Amino acid sequence: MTREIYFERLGASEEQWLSVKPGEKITFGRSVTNRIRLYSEFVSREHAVIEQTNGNIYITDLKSLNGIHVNEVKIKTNIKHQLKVGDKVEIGKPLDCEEWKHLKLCDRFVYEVKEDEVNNLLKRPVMAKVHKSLFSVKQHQERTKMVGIKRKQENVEVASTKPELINILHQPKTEVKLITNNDVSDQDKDVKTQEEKPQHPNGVLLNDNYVAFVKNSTFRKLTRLEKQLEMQREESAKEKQNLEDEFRRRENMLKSELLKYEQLAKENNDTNTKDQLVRKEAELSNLLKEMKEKEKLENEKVAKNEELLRDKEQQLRDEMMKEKVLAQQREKDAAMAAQREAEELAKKHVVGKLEEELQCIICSELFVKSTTLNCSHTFCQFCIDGWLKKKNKVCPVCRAEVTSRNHSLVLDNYIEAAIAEMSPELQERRKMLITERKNAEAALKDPPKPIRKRKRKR
Amino acid sequence: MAGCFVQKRIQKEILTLKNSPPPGMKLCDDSLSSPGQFMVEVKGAEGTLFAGEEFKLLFKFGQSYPFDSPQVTFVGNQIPVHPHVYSNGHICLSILTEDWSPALSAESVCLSIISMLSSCSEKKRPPDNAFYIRTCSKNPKNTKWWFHDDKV
Repeated sequence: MTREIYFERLGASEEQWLSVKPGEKITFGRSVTNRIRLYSEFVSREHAVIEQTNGNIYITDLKSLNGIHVNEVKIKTNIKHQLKVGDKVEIGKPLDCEEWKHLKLCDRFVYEVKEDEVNNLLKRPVMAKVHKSLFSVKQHQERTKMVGIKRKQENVEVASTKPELINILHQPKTEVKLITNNDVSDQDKDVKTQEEKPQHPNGVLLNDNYVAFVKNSTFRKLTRLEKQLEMQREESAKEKQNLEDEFRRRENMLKSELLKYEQLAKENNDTNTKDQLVRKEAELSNLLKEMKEKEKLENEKVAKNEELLRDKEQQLRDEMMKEKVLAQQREKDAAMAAQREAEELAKKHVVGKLEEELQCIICSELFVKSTTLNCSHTFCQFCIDGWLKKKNKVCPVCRAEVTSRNHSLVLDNYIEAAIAEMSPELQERRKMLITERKNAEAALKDPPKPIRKRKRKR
Repeated sequence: MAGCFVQKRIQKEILTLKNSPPPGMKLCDDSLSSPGQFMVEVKGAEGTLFAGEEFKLLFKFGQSYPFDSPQVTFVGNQIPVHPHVYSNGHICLSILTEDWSPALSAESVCLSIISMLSSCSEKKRPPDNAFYIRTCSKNPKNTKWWFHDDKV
């Protein structure tokens, strides 16, 4: 009996094995284009290729990031490395990863090179196309949360380049997916309307928390959709797998039967058996035809679903763009509001200083017709006139004798300009004050006779 | 002179005394009810004859304030025994009459009075106390003061 070399994944379920036929190249990697897809972020998109030439098994590292270890020794990249029975090959083991030490065998991709009789191999379950690692799946989900968009685009790229190789989606599943997606978008709408509510009462939105909240919700949405897509892909891959398995089993069965009948036919040369043989052959060809048709149908479905998926992705990306623009707008608004606030504060500060420095010490108002004395002290014209009517003509502040009074035009102009910037109440007050002063001045021009106060001598 | 003209000035003085009073003086909140007057509690400065004693000063602002000085008198049971303070509370201080300037305020008057109390070297009433309180008017401003002592 002939013997065949095969690879068995250690610590994993039985169907995770593969045999290498002469002249066949088996590619390993994370992307869907590989013959064996390894589901882990530590595995490169195109990681390794195993081939058989002249009865020898070779493995080649396709310049992967984390490399290939044969018996715990890393092999050189891009160079064929010959394997022998009993070798242990590990794919995608990071150089310095603490967690790796505590990782179970089933979460790593360790394959042992084994040899067995072909008949025994035929009894093994059909080879799985996807090999998974729980560790990597978990990591993968976290990563998806982190860089949902990037991952998304990557998927789209893969989808557009090799649409026929993408995992197959099953029609009924898609319907379910559409329903759930609709639900999701409805929920999202609800969330959105709730989110947009706080925007209206204030007119301008200033809340950073709100922006962060919206961003988070988008990420949540993305992650949710992402997970759904991932699940769906897995499921459809499984379906396809099952379908193929079914076909293969039937094919194998028929083939072996055919073989049996051929042998029988050779031995007996019986017409009866020949008839049976012809029938069986017809059956086989029918089966093949059926399979082809089904595959064609499947491919059509896949194409349709891919389109749907891409539409969904486009929608999502549009949404993201919209949200980005919105967030930018909000940031701009917030910045403008902050600037306005700062300006307001500066104005208040200036007004405070103005009140402090440009106040008449006599009346505690901003100067009205500011008048500067020879000693450089300044007062309202009305106030200093009122004071100088007294018999002692000295400056109220420094008691220097008053020899001159000068109107300070620049001060008056400055105060008027400053008041024009202030609140309407202040402007109104100022107007009232000025009219009051005018009236009082007019009254003073024609003053009633002053009443002399009686003074007592002590 | 219109009332509202002086109002802002008095209001400002009250606010200053209320919010950031200089050490040794405190505005009596219950005295703010009547317009144009308020009371300030002053403390004798540490290290002087009046250390630890508290007096109440009544400020009355006339219609012509701040061109005319306010009436300032000691009130209550506690009248400091001082050569320039009569037992009826009248104070003989130049800035309260002749030397008044509109640049002065209630705060600066209080400060002057605390300073006057602090520079006292002997606790005694003015020599003409008995005669003055019998003959004086209620308003100390109606007195023609004769300022002679710059030392105290």
